[in-house]
Amino acid sequence: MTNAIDVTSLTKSFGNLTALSEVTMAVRKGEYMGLLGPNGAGKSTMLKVITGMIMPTSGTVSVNGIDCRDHRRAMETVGCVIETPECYPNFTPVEVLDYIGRIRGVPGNQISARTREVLEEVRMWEWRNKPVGKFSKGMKQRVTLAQALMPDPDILIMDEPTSGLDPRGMMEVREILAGLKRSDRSLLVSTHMLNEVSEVCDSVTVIRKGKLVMSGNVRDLLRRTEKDVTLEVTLRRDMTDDFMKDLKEFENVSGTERINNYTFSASFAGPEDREGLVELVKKHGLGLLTLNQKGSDLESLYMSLTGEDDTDDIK
Amino acid sequence: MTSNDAAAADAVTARGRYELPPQAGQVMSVYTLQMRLYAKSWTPYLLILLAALIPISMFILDILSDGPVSDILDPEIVFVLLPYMIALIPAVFAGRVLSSEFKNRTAYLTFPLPVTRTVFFIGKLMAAMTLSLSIMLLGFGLGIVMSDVYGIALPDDTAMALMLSLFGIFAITAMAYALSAVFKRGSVAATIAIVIVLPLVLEFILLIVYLVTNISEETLDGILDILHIMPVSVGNVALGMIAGNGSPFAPAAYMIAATAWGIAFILLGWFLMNRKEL
Ligand SMILES: Nc1ncnc2c1ncn2[C@@H]1O[C@H](COP(=O)(O)OP(=O)(O)OP(=O)(O)O)[C@@H](O)[C@H]1O
Ligand SMILES: [Mg+2]
Repeated sequence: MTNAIDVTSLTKSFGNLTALSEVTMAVRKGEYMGLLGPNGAGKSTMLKVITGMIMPTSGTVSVNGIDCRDHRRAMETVGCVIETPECYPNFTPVEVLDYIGRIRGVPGNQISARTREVLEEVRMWEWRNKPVGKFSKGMKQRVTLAQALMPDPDILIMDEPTSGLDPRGMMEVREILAGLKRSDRSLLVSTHMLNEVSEVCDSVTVIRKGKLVMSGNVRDLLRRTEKDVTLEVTLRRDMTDDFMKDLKEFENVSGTERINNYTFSASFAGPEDREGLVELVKKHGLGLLTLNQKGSDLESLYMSLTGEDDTDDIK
Repeated sequence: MTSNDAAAADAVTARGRYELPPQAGQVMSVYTLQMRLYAKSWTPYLLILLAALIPISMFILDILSDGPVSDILDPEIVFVLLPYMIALIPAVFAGRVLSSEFKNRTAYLTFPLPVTRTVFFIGKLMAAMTLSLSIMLLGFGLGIVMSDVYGIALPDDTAMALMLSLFGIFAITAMAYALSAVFKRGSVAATIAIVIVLPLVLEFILLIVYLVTNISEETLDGILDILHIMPVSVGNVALGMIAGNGSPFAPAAYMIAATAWGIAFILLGWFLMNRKEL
């Protein structure tokens, strides 16, 4: 079976800047894939090549097995939201969808029924006759989502669909995306939020500075966070060497760091016994001031994936 | 069948919900879109109002003047200058049609759709031409009706002047539109500069050359005639023709020049838009 999206050795340069370098990845039919990376990683660039907004410098991209240079046919079953597009501000959602429906071959007598279906799907039906220009960002985003859904697409391509939305708006868009899942539909969604990937997608591709970092199953990736917890502890009194020695031998501790005389962090490579740790502090008569888990699991995982330590750049 | 054809057939039969319309149908969808965008803006209404000023002003002149209007009105003003000036507005503003799509980010809505850029380009071009040329025809039509009402004799060359003006408006619309395919902003200003400022600058340079060198007056006139074959001067030529001044070249020459100019710009705009990166 052909893949929904195939990206092979894709390179895209803008003058001297290489925005994408030899990236290879695939989205299978029925797969929900998150494209994760920090600002400037090349996410939008990749989605723009796939959707024919820019041409690749080298490499090939195909959608449903059709080379993207044949833009018209490659996009036939694809719905996109790229770079937060704007709808014509004087148009109402109904008028926008009428245009999209006609150009995509929704038969004239089915357009209004289909318009109603998609507007209800994104919960914008009651706003159908108001000009889009007056809408809030979140409402506009839902209209652009409806536009992508109009042809009942097999493949959805979304570039940061939650960017610029408030937490409620983000949640709504994610719910809509998750609700669109069906066995023959694929999604490629870019984001710089790992929790978005974990909420919506089955798979994830991480890119950073235009290079592929990893591509794989979201669950496998998240399992990594479960076994890697770091606790940061602040004491009332300065630590003793005895205490540090006991700490290193504490159950499941994989590493310790002395941050200052009365603060340390301990990483656990297995379930962390917090009560036991408090007992240990008590036993040494140091007194516990605070005990915190460092960062959220996802945050630290994201940092390690997208590597804010730029060690490999020196090479 | 290429592998692409096979894959495309596969994709459609696998799902088979909607089938893409033929490209001509998509051109019509884009055309309709642009006409709707016009209908929702002030432009066509203002233009119709301006065209309506032709009969209105004649009516007022008739009331104010003692004798018949035909005594105080030069027919070329009514039949060529006014319609041409009014039609220049939509022609020049065709320089907004595509650039506004880039500036307002609506291109991000349309360009990923399963349409070729050529379809998009042609559909919008047709709409821009429709607006410019129909405003020109409306102006002419009103002028001719009023000439009948007030008994103003039509000069012999009226029909030819009309044709010439239509070609001129076509050329200028095409140029403005093509520029708008390339630049995010400034196409309107650039068109105005080319239509109004460029001929003045060229004529001024020519005058200086005439004054400091000793080229003959005939040579000067000859060069001026050649300059006037640029479509931007078509309005002048048509005006002269209707006023009975004649023109150095046959009308067909001006029409061919205007057509060539318009098509050259259209091809350039189309070529550049196809390689535009968004
Ligand atoms: N048209 C362009 N001309 C020049 N450089 C560009 C162009 N488009 C993108 N870039 C550069 O390519 C790199 C990747 O940009 P891209 O927009 O793909 O990143 P992104 O992953 O989408 O980031 P963000 O999260 O900020 O949207 C950036 O360094 C950007 O400056
Ligand atoms: Mg981006």
